Amino acid sequence: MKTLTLPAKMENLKALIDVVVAEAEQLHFARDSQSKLRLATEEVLVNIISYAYPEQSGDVTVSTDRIPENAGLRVEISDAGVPFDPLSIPTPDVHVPIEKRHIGGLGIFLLRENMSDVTYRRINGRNTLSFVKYGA
Amino acid sequence: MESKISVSFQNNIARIELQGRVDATNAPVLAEELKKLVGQPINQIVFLAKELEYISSAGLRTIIFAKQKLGENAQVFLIAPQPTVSEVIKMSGLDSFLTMQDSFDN
Repeated sequence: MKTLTLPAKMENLKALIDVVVAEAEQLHFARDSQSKLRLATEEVLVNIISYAYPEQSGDVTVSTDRIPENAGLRVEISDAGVPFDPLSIPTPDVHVPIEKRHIGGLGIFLLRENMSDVTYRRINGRNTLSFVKYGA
Repeated sequence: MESKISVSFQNNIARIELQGRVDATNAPVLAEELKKLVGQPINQIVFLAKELEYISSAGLRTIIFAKQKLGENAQVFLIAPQPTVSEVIKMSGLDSFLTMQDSFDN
């Protein structure tokens, strides 16, 4: 298990994502799976960095957990910000013509499309989102 | 690979060369570069993506922005995308206005 906690700021985005990508590399995940994990992690982190702490600043924690029995990697991302369930955002209609396209919600849509077992819980005053990528 | 973005405009064609990753850290740079072209007579917007390894929603939004603000009538191309990139583009429905092809001769 790997864990990193840093202030929820854009300058820390790379370091936080790297925790997940490094673990995926160690598990010999294929490049495509690594890329999808990077994407899911970035989307969740960017939402937290942008919206979790509207007034004061705060931290964000990324942790990873191996699931040996089915070669999976679970990622958990938590913040102590405004209670918010990103999974409550309506799924964007990706078939709407571009001129009318609302571009919110796309990141969470990509997370849900690419990851398994995506769950949100509010635990001990923290928004806690977790997701799993199975198998190389 | 180092991430790099370069934008040029010539003969009514906006060319945007993307290398490495376009994510939340550098998408604002791309958006700023594209804003400089607002008001130009653009017929074609060409994203050269051969060296692009990764794009997140922040990058996708700048492509949507390019279509919406630079040229409602402009054709938008994505040239030589790698499979991980083209998959995200399709998943997000951007292929509805964006033509993906192997090369761009012009």
